Amino acid sequence: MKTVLSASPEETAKLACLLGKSLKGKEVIALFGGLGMGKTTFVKGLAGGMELNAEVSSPTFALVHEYKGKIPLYHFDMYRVQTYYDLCSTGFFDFLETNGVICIEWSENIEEELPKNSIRILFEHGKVDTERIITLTGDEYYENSWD
Amino acid sequence: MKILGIDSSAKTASVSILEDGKVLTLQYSNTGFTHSVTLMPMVAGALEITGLSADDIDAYAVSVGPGSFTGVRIGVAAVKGMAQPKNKPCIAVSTLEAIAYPLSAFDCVAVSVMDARREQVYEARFQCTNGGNLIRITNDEALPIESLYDSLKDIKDQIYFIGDGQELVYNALKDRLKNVRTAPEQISYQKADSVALLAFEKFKRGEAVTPFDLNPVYLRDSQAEQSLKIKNKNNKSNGG
Repeated sequence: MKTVLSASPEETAKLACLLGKSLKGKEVIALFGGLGMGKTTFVKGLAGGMELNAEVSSPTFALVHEYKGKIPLYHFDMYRVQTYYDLCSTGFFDFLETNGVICIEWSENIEEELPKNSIRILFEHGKVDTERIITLTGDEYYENSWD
Repeated sequence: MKILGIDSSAKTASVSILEDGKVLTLQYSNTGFTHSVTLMPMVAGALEITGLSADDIDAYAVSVGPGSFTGVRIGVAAVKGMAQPKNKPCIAVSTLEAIAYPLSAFDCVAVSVMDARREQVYEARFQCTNGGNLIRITNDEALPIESLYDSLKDIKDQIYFIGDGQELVYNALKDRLKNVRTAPEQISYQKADSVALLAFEKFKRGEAVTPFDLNPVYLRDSQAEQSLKIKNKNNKSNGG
């Protein structure tokens, strides 16, 4: 487990970029934390780190956005996903079989079905408005990307 | 009569063109989950190899599920798109029936099983007799693997499990059921030639529909509506 204090959205994106650079494909990154915590900002940084030239936006209505590249990134938003059937209908299990990276907003909603080796990232409020406490739990290799 | 059949309901994708019940071509790919990329080039390839154009196709067939949600959607959407301009007839084929089809040459009970995760399978049973008859015994269903024991224990014929769930089901039941086997690997997975051949029979029985009435079939199991939130855990984030 690694906890880092981010003072701004820019710092959050930078952390995500560092993690993005360490990815090899097939990782599942599960984001936890409510509205306005910087999850989409994080995915933007992640895509940058993965060298994807993509217009990242939250897939609240599309459920999943695909950003193409050497290692593709599949960006899910599970905000509206409530049941196992909902999750199946998003194609989530199909994407797990690919070589791409999956990054999930609102992982709270599908926590039971997250793969065991998922990289979990929790966003919490810091002391001031713009501050976030970001905790990464996962393989040491990924935690070390934030050293 | 020429039928173009498609299967993209699981990990593999395939396209076949049939003329009066004879397979003219079968294009097959097993290159990971990229049906949206591979399917249409295979359709183009199938037409090129047979020297046909889209105008020559009289009807379209597709495995409409159960199966991978993304895969089924791609297959059904592709067929709708190809059939709509000239309002060509479409034939929906059960994925489980297409899977069982290669066993129809043997005297046995064919149990089509697809892995539906969470100890569940999509399942349908067929009686295969007289070298080529495939008679449906049960509807397509999503079931717990364990419930199959009660359904199969009184069957005296040779039972073959076939499909991507065959090993899963065989291993769960082999100690209690003596007359079960798995189908040979090379015939275990759904292919577009089976889809087209079954569609030809369905077409003759008047079971074709318009492209607008062709729909995917997603089966719901008993746990389908279960929430996936982990209960009784304090979510520490403040939100908003």
